[in-house]
Amino acid sequence: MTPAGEVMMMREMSGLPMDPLPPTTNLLEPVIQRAAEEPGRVMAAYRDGNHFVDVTAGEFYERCRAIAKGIVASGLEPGGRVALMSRTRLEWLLFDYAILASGGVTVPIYETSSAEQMQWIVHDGDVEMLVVETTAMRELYEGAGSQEDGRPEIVVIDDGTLDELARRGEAVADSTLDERIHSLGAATIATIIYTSGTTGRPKGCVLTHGNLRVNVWQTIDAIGSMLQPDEVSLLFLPLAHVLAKIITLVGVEWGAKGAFATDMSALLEEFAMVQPTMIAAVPRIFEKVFNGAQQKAQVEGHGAIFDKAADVAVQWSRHHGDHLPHPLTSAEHALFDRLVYKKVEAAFGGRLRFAFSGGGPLGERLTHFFNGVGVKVLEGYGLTETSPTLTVNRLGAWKPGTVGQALMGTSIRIAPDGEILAKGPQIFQGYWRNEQATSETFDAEEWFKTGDIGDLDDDGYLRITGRKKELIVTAAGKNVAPAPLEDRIRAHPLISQAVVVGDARPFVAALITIDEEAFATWAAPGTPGGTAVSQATDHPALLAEVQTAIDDANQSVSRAESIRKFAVLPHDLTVVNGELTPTLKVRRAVVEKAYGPVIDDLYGS
Amino acid sequence: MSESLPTSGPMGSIHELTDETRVLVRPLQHSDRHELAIGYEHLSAEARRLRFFTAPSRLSDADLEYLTNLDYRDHFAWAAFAIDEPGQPGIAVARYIRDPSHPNHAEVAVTVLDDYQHRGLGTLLLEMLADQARRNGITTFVSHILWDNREVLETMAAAGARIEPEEPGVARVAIEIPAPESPTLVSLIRAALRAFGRVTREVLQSGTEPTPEADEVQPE
Repeated sequence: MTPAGEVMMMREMSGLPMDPLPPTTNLLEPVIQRAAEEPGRVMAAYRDGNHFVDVTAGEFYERCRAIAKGIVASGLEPGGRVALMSRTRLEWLLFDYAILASGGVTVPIYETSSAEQMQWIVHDGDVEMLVVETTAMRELYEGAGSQEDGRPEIVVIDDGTLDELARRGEAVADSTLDERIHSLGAATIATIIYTSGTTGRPKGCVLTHGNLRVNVWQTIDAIGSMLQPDEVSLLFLPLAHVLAKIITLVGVEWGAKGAFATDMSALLEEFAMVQPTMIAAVPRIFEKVFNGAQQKAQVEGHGAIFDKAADVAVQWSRHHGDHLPHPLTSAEHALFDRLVYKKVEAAFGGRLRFAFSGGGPLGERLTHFFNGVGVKVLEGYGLTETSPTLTVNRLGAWKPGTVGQALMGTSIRIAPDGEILAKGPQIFQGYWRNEQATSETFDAEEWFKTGDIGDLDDDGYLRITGRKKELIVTAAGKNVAPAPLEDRIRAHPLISQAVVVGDARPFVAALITIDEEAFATWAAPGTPGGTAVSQATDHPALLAEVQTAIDDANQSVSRAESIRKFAVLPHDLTVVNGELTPTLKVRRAVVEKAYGPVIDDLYGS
Repeated sequence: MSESLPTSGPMGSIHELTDETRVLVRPLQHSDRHELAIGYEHLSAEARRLRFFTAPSRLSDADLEYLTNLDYRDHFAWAAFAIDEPGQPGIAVARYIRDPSHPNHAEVAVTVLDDYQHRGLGTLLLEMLADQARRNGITTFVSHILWDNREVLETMAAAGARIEPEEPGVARVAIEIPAPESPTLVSLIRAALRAFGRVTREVLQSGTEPTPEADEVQPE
């Protein structure tokens, strides 16, 4: 008890304790067990034309073994790294499990990665085999530079080398593969996921079988009361993202059917086809569904009704908290349920009960809106380094605006400077071959330093309030380091300043200022000669010139991190306007506020 | 405006760094513009980022004018020169600028060229800047520092600074400037010494008296 009159802020909170992991724990166990005990159970589904084709646990494991043997036949030794670059599809998951079964380590590469990023990951990860989805990806990689003495071997999913790999594996005995599987344990490295820091090259987060499997158990412990025997999920986030990965693994462990979406543009259609009961999504998806429903209502002349219905849903949720599903206690809510909410639910296929949201902050209002509509959004918190989940909102412990309470076996502490620290069995061992970065990320008492700032309320809910890392997190959940992009843009002689924006926005954009002195002497054909920068911010010749600098910066990053739009500001940043501190440090938050309308224009809102 | 030094006030002094490099520290002058522009060109990309956050590729004429047009009361800066090297290049600047809305607060920025870091120069300049600020009625130094700038933040924290989150990536650091005879200055310097190594001061020429605590600053 806190002595009367003394206000004490909670600085540490732990989930329920958990037993240590059995040393033999590995990620293959649930797949093998399911294939043995319920071989006919549908485990996955993929789209073929106008319908989804089921894949049973037995079929899945059989295909997985065939590929794993091919990998063994190709000479991969236990611990060897195999990079995997593909959109989210059945083969991604098959390859992931096949790599693990062969004793290998999966190194995911985003399908939208640039050639520079591919080269870096293959080089730094010392990758022995590179699995890419398309021949275009192989060409992108090969076009970027020399391969070191035939390594890595490249396998293309779409051009038949997959079959060749399986044929190669026919010579490998079952017992050889079984030995590889039996030698897996909690401490075996399962994956190395590259994440961008604020500066420098991406670093590889080393996660073991134990890290990921325990995070699956922790997640199921938190949400188990919501899970039913016949869950169906629609998988559409990139599996290179650890949130998508862990929710997929939760589905495998639970025995859910995981249906693979084909393309973001077909998402609405596939929600209707698959009718998922659970999904993992990023804030952008929820925004899109909300905005889509709102716009549709407006077009149909029901804009006012929709807005009223949204208010009622939010109010209803604030009153009723985490009760599920909506007991229709208010007449208004019941009315709008038929008129509006059913349509929003229909956008998700009509059967969705809950959705994990991660990757970035989802607004409290939107969380309440979806809850009021009948879709429980479970916002959680974690990093790639933490497998990822540390905290999550759950049934009975659901507080929108926070990221929930600590998972079982997990402790959260707030450092004196506000930084969120964490301990738990899901926390990684370190960065791949980077001792210095690893030691910097743990404090003297072995707490993992998240780099985020937050506080714990009296009930132990974690709220994220800031960030120590100079990073932008887009609404699509992509972490983008602005500094390296800005450096490359500023290398252009005409440009004095670049401020990259995009936090909680759908994509990354940039505000550019022009060097007045360089501009005065700039004399390209079609140049707006003799004018001031402030008169020329829309001049095509100037915009084209700036675009070359943007293009150069974009070479270094994936499409998700690339700058899609920019605006040229009429003058340099100034102290008088507060955009710079008196000693000329750039204040991003002030710049973003001062140029709010310019930024809104970039995002077309 | 102020093209020359005020008639009364600090003059230059020569100091020895931890590796025995000798530096001249004197108030920055308007005529140092060119030196400042060159110094900026020699700053690494990372050092520029730590100093300006999103740093321009070069300092414009307007920036240079702003940074060298000092009144030595509301805007003061020390400049350090490596006097034993050819051309006696400028190697560091430490400045404060008073906050018009909180006249007893000032923003501080200290920049040391990469090759001269980790020799106690930043700490020395900060201490000299505090002396000067105190004389001009400033009680608190405020600085905006990237969290990536771990060494500086750790030193400031050890010296009793209040450090709080500001916008993403940035910490706001506030430290009270102790009275000259106050033991907290000694503890500040000791903390800094632990982080940066020993600083010895050889005051050859100074408009100010040697500070009494200088003698107390010995390694423990």
